[in-house]
Amino acid sequence: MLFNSIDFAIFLPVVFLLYWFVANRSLKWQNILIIAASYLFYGWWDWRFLSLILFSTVVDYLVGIGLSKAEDIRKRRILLWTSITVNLGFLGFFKYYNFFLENFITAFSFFGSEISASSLNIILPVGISFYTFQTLSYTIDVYNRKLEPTRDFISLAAFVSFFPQLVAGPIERATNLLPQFDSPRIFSYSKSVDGLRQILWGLFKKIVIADNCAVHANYIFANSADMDGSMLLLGALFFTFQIYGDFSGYSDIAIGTARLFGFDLMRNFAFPYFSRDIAEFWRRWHISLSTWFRDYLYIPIGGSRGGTWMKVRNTFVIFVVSGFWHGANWTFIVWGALNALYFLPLLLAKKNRQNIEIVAQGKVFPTVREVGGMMITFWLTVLAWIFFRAENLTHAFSYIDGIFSSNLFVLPDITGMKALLLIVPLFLLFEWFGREKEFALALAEEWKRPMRYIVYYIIILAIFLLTGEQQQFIYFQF
Amino acid sequence: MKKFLIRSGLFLLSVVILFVALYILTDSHIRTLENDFMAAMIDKHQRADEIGSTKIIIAGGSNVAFNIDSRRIEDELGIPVVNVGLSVGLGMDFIVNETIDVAQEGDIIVFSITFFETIDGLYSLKRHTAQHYPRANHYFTFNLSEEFTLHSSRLRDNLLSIVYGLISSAPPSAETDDLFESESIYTRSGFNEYGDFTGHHGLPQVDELDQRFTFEYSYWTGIDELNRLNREVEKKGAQLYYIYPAYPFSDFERNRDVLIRFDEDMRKDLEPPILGSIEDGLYDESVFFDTAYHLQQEGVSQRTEYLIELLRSER
Repeated sequence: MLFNSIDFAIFLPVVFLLYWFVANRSLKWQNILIIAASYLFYGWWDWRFLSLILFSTVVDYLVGIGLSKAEDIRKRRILLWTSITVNLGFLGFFKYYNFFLENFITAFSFFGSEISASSLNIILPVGISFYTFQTLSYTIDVYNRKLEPTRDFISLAAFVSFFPQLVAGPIERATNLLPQFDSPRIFSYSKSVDGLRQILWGLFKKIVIADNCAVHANYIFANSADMDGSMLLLGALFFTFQIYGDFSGYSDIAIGTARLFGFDLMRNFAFPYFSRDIAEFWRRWHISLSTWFRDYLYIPIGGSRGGTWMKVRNTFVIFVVSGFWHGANWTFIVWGALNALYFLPLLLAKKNRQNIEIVAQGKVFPTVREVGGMMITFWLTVLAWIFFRAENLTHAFSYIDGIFSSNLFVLPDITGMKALLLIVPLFLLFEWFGREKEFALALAEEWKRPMRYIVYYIIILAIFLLTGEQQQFIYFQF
Repeated sequence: MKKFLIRSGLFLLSVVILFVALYILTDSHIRTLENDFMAAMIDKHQRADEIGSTKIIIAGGSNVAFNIDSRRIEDELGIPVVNVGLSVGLGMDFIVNETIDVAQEGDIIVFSITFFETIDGLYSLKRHTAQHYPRANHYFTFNLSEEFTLHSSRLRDNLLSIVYGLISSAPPSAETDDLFESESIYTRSGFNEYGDFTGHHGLPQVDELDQRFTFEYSYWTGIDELNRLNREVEKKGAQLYYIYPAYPFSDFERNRDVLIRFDEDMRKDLEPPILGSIEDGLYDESVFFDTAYHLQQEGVSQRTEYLIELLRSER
């Protein structure tokens, strides 16, 4: 079920009313309703893959119980690796089987050996990368004794399948979300209003910004061989805003929806395009994944401890793995490696934590230095997104080559793009003024009611008027 | 909770009121084109009503609107003719209901429709037609979800038209249908007094003919609709005949196996008699105008002559 669909517009109020008026007699019933709603939400795409979620949940539940009883370190390790093998096994098979097979065949043929193996026609279950990482966080935290294993299967099943963030995150930590399933839910008016506001802003980002940018980005990337450099640059910019609107829009809707049910999900985006360096960008982009890799990969392999070589190695590992998490394609790996290259100078100069707070805090305008930092970071990101969006590495390199052709300074044909080229800067301006909030529209809290409602109506009208071709959320494919 | 539900409910209501108000306000800005292609239904039905009973009704989609010379049939057979064919986008269901409505005692109905045509058609086109000719509201079923989609997109188009009009200092454009833009030959004035479309006469063939589909076989449920039509017009004392549409040789060859099976189903299950054979409707590609079903003037002449022969032999 898509968030931006009529199905969801009916589903959400129905589940909301059942949750607060019918299932509110006990916590257990509310959690059972969440599981039922989540399985329905997921099964709307393909009910067959519900068995994968259920199987992962059962395995992690049993591993958790096993870990609570096991004191012997060897036994605990076996249990942990059982969970990791099962969860990553599913992920590896569904997402990476064909990639590895094809690359092995290519590698062997390079050395003169011919291997005959046929790839499988595997359908990638929606959101598998997200819920796999979420369930793993439970087992790893229990193993590390950061979390007491739950004995309530219902709670764990609700945690694993919680529909607002099931298919595209934020990837929640068991330490944050699981205890919320064990706590009584008290309806909060302000939290719910804030949730609705965040849903509205998420829909705006997805429908108005992302889906409209997608039309042009898709066209330009598909026909890149025939485009001028200036048009290719415009295509890369459109994709830059598409992916931000798409993914942060999804996260806003997810977080807002969870709020309606009394849950607090972690923040996933914090105005990344206002970052002054790439390290700051990665603290503000897909925060739940970055911190997941930091806590469960970067720190366990040594983190920033050790010598320079170790730091460099660990940085590359985390960025390349993060790239590979996005998809079984060399483009994602290069995208990850490129970001590692961007990050490296900051790490080596020990300047990777110099921009922690949001830019120009408490001020309207940034300094010239801040503007410079933001511009450089933004354009480096745009360049990296070309690899992320391209069909393959050849396409990415020819696209970049095309940008830097002699036609870069030719005025692009912006017929059909004029409205969007006006809306995107206005959107950025709104985001700038709301950057100290959790999401830009949270600014509305401070406004007087008439002003607030005028803005809501304008956003709803914009969503209505500028609904383009409905596009799948980009991150569903991951 | 109560406060939240009341406030969010009121907000939702205010949004609905805002949209309804905008709809009412913007819709009055929009002129309906009198020369719209679908408005030709008014003239066709007026002629049918004026003739009354004992007439020849040519019914179907645009294939019959484009391909028949009704004046010649009337002159040769001495029976008044009306061509009610308009657009296949209306769907079999609509066209069958319309034909039942027009038919009277003693009428001869010649029905022809493009291969494998859908039953439902386009809801927006049906509503659009009914706006011109309210009696057409009886030819299809009201659908709430389709209505919602239709009015939403209409409000969107109207608002965008006004916004773009303001930006470019141009007045809001008149309502046009995607299918029949005001600049095209597809207009009400392109029809003659018999209901035949003649707006394309004398024009050269377009570069590439449209609707050149490659079919996949499945049993055509349109047969049930035609049998329904047959039963209803029989009750009224009219006679129904079916005739295959005019179609290019080359397209028939490409779809031969499927269309032969289609013909077998028709011969087996269709209750009204079929005039001629499927092959008799085949013409050289050069006599078509813009689609694989619309003939040019030369093709119209051949087609009409053939139909007159068939009707004569039936008498």
